[in-house]
Amino acid sequence: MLSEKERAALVLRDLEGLTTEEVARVLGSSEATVRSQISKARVKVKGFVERYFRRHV
Amino acid sequence: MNCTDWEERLALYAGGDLAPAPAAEVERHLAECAGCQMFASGLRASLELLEGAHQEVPAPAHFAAVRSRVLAQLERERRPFWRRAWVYGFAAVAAMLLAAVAIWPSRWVAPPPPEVAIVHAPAAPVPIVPARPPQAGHKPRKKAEPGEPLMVRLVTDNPDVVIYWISERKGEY
Repeated sequence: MLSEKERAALVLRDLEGLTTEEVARVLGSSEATVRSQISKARVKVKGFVERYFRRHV
Repeated sequence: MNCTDWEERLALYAGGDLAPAPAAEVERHLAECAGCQMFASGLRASLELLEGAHQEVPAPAHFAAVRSRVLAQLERERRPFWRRAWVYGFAAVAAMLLAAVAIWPSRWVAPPPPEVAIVHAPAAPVPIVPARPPQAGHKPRKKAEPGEPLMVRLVTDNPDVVIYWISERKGEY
């Protein structure tokens, strides 16, 4: 499960197309924190997707 | 270096979030590590899937079904008070029952025990004849009041075996 911050960072960066700097400004965090949240969220999403396809395909 | 140490950089690299120097370092590692190549391709695939799903416009019926499920879930989560009320109500009833049980014996007056006639029975089963004729010098046994149960205790030779016979008949054995 993604944390709230991870989900927000992922949506803003990967779906809304904001830069990491803009995401940091929106979420009131440092850019390093946002980059860490984005990378964790991407790894988690990769895990979800792979598990989903292993189960359903 | 363990490949798990590359995961964070690979995840940033997959979204184009690495500066040129660290990106070049990741590319050098990818060129010689099959495991990380697979990891990176999985990251790219899941990101593409996410972007594709985001751009896809859901069918109105599907959207309405998902929306109603989400709203129903929110509604269920918004009503924790009722769940707690059930628990508190149950606890209150249980507490009242416990209090009633605790108070009850102090007000309860035990009825007089039924009259017991003790008969020593022989080892072999014999017809039960518990009544004994009144003996001289003995006060006659108080006759059981009508309606009172009569209990006869048969003591056998075996100390572990005691037979009780309870009669509902009025003053007769």
